[in-house]
Amino acid sequence: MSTTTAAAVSIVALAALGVLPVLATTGWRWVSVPLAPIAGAIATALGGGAFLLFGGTFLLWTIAIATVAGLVVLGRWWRNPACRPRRPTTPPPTSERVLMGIGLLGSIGAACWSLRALATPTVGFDTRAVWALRDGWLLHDHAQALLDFKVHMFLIGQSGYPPLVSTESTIGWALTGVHTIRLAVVIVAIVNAAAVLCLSCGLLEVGRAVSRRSNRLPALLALGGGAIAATAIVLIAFGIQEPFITNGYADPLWAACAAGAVVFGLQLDDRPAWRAAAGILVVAAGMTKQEGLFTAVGLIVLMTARRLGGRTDRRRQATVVGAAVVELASLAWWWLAIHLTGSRDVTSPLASTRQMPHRAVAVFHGFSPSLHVLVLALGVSLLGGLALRTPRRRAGLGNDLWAWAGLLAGLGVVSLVLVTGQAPVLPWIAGSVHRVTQYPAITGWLLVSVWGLTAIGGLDDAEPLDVVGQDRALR
Amino acid sequence: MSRSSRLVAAIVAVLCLGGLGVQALHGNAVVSQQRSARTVADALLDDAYYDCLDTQAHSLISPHTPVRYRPGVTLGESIVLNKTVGSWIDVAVPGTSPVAFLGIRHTGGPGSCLGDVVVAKFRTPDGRWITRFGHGAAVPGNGPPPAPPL
Repeated sequence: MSTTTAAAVSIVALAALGVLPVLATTGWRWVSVPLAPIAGAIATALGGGAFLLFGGTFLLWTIAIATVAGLVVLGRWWRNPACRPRRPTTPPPTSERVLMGIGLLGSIGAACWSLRALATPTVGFDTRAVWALRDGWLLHDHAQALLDFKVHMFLIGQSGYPPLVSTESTIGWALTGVHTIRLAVVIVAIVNAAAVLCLSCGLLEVGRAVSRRSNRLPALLALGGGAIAATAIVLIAFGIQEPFITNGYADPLWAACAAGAVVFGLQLDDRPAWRAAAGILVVAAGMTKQEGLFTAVGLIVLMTARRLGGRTDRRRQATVVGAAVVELASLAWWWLAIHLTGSRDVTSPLASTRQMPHRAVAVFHGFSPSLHVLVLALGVSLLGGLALRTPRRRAGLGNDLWAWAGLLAGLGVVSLVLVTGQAPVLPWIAGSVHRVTQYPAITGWLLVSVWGLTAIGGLDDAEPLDVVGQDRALR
Repeated sequence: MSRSSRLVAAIVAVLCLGGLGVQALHGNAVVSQQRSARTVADALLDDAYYDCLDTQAHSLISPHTPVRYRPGVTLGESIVLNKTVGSWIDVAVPGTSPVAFLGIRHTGGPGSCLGDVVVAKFRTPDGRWITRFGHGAAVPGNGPPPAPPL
């Protein structure tokens, strides 16, 4: 089987594993398409943990977990047909559909165009040394796999890192019989592109939210701006994340997923579909890499706080807290598997407190060239906070400070690791800065995009029509 | 919205969409660098090196042969072995004797992968140790493959 065919089979399989839970929680929406393989990848990560803990085979556990999730969804739809995903009874205005369709096609086109980098068969250092190494281990019998994760011989603590970027390609190896690093790299790159497309879908929804609370011309401009921003964010994310996004590294996936969680969980209005999308993305981020894990925990706390804010309904409060508990439990699954099986864990000796201020300064200077976008984001946030609060609130978008808190949570995690770690800080920064700043850089551009679209809504010189009236006017 | 607010809105919209446009063009240029002749050549050489060592390892042991890395293996050697055979070898159960000890030796010359060869030390039925060298693939040249980006 060729790599192309094997990659296609693997992505279809990942989407099949995740499609029912995604449809049940986000419904028939564009974002459901890129979310499906990401949800499937989460199933493989859960399967990997179950395999380590209980034996059997990785493939059987993954299929069993996805099947149980699928049966729960189908059972719920059967018992309660009102829960089935349905298209909206009143279709959106033609102009909205056309402009958002253009944005979606532009984003997909930009993602396919950016994946041309895959034509260069680059394999990252960590891809060979850690991520694809575990692909093979997860296909061994249980006793051998446990040995692989435990023995000192391999001299790598990183094998205890969250598993998703390995398990998503292991499923491809298992199903196709093509056990090549090239296949692993291609699968990881396509799932990365799916995560980036989730960002596009989020920005298209921001454009739609602004347009629905605006009069005709600003409404059209907001939709057009959303289409432009959605396409641009794909090119920007690939630019920030190359070469790692197409050489099998884990950083691009957690960064894109965590940034997606910021858009859906902290910026768009609080509705079940966006909560679900944010939940899937934040769990994927946390199951992908150690920095992603700590950032995901921070984002879950922020999303929960935002949703609980001002709510007195105990049932709603319980639902919100319950969702957070499920997300945290998913993140804890692999960590439990590693600890209960006595596998190698990630440990890092701490620097002395005397060195930490110098290390912090080095981190600041090391990160600055990769984070110039934060200057622009801060500027537009200040301007927007002073003059554009009304259109932002009118569009139902979350306070900008939530997104900043989410950004700083991720930036704080990676900074803290470098400041408190014992390894020489300058080579460490030089060898990791392009990867560890991906999340704050992409989130910075998302902040800029959301303010840009909000500003278009702020061009309105009249009171907006109500949504129905505006829909009719656009039609 | 007041006139001043709309002016600020226009400024913010232009700044943001302009910034997005410029950065998108930059991002596209970064992706294009991945297709440069130098990057392609480096990637091909890196692949050839590890494929070569993998073939040599397969010429010495099968995937179900219980093995261990040689005693005293260096960190660099261990990383190359991890990248080459780590995903498919069977590690010998602690407390048992492996069928072979694996290592990488820099010999240079023909039959090597950029100068490196996989070596395996086997114990014969009469208790002696013999060293065998991997074969079946070679990459001309000397020295490690180009360092991939970290």
